Amino acid sequence: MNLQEEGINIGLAIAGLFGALLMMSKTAGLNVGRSLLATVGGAASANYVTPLILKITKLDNDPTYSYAIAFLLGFAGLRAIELITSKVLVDEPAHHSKRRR
Amino acid sequence: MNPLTIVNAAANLIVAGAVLDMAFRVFGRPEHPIHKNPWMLGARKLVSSVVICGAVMNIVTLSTPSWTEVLLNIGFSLNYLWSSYYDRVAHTKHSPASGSLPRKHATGRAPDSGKTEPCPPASSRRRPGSTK
Repeated sequence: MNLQEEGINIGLAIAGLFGALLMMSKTAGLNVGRSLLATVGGAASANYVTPLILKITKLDNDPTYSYAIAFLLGFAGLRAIELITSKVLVDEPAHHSKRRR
Repeated sequence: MNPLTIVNAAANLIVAGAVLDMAFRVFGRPEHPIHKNPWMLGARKLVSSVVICGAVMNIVTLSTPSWTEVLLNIGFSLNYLWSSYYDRVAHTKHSPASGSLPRKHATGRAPDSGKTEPCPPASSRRRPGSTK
């Protein structure tokens, strides 16, 4: 089984995992399941989002930046994903709902 | 598949799990004394992350080192497993390894001590802060 063919780049995933482990918060021990999910999410986001970032920033021709971006993605955790999606996926809302007071 | 590969993967799996458990227990608790020393915290976090990433990489790539290195990995895994277990036991509330003071009976003496402490007379009992 070739993991590269399955869409898993081990180098990027390990870089993201390393960043996610370094980003572990003080209160990670209070909710182990959530912390574990955040760590795995950091590695997965580094694996799957790094090519997207390289494509957006037009750095995909140079592989030098990929591991650094993967590490930063893992380090920033899922907050970086939210930031990127808010920047990239800008959709007009279908309808404006009124706020209730 | 080579048996050495399976044994090495199992040893690395134990290493990754035990170190991750210890990392959650040490770095993930704000009351742990390591948070008073930021340099030690950073160094241990870095080292733990390196160990976990190396173990995960060994598992994913299914590496087959020589039998001496597999032996070394087994030793590491048992060592980390014991450390994780001891850390878990030592921080249990009423464990003997927790180092907590022995509880006293209502009489004011420890349960194992043979000596008895005389109760001070009522006239000598003073509240803290009283001048009389």
